[in-house]
Amino acid sequence: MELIIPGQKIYDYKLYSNETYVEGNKTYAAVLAMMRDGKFIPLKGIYKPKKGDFIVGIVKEESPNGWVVDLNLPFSGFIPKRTTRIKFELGNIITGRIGNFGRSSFDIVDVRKLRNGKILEFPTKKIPRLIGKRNNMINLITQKTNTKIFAGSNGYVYLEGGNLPLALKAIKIIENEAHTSGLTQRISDFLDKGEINEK
Amino acid sequence: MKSDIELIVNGKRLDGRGLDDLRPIEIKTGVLHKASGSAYIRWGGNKIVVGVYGPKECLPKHLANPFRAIIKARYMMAPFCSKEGHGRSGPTRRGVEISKLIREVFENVVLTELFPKTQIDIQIEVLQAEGGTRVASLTAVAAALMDAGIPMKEVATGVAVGKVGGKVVMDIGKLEDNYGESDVPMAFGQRTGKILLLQMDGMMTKEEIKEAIEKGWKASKKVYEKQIEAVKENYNELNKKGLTF
Repeated sequence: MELIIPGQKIYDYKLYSNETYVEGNKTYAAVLAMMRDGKFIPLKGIYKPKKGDFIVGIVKEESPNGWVVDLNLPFSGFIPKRTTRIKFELGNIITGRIGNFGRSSFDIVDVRKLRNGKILEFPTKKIPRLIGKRNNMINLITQKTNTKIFAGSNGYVYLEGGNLPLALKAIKIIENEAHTSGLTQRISDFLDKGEINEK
Repeated sequence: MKSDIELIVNGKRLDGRGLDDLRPIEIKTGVLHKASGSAYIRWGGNKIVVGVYGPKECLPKHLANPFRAIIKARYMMAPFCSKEGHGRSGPTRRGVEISKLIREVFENVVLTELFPKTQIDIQIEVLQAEGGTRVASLTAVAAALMDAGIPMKEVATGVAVGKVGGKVVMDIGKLEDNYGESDVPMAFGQRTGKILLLQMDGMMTKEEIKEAIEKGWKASKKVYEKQIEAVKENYNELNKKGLTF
């Protein structure tokens, strides 16, 4: 393992991304990262929203033509009233996908209202690890704790029902050890012997 | 301020350091829970906490730049931070100046064009001061930005060089600052070696300035190692458990 510091040279050719900086014909790291088999893997970074991304949000304001949604991002989301028949109240938790970008907010499409579960903040760069390859990490936790989980790429994670304390512990482990290998197996072992129950 | 005190005796300084020695430095990252990134630095008698927040919504909105993020820095000395006492807490002439220079250093380092219409907040709280707080806080801010994951071209590192008793010395403390002849805080980008900050209080000749910058660059390398250690520490703990990348 090799930890890369911002400003360290990583490639002798150009590779543009949000986590790299190109000067001349060389690429330098812009954030804390690691190199595995010659591949550049950022450990930290800021999430930049893309169209079509799955998100979890909280309704924070109502206006005459829509609802404003808190997304844990520099910009808020907006649900236009003409696109949905669902009525929202302040504090409702929703999921959806990012649509077009307006002047200072995103439109949210495919909106669904969730029940009042628990919401927590999770580092956005580690969300893919929480979801796992083809959802296998989330499915594993759901299977063993019976907790419903929605992980938005904006960093909000929604949890509902089941053995919630155990699921929260498992998520905490994923957050701390996201960059290590063999994590799915360890989480599986942890959940097998975990005893914490809701009551 | 001139005095009859001899600040250098037999090649040693008041606290027993050699001319090129730095005070002990210790940096920790991730000390604040709610901040995007944070750092705590202990540099000799200086104790400083730094929090970095954002990129977040730019307020007031008319300040937002449609092409890049704006950076806001706030340097504040606690009322109990030094012997003289800085009176009530709040923005002072000195605080405004240091906030401005730290903001300008990081405007040149952070890739602000990636986050249009947003702002990045840097909050610096000096808990204890003993000379060289501006370079110490600058060093801590760089570590906090790394902790936050905000993209940067390079890591900025500060070091204060001075002229004391007719000689150029590294990392001057409070007494040397007050009774020495000159104080030159400087900051370098560690990849390119660019000078990001260069101020001078007092007088120095052209040759002395050249010597100061050369020696300061070497000294900043030592500070840079401490910054790297600080950000690596979080991952070292997991390595000890036997968990590999």
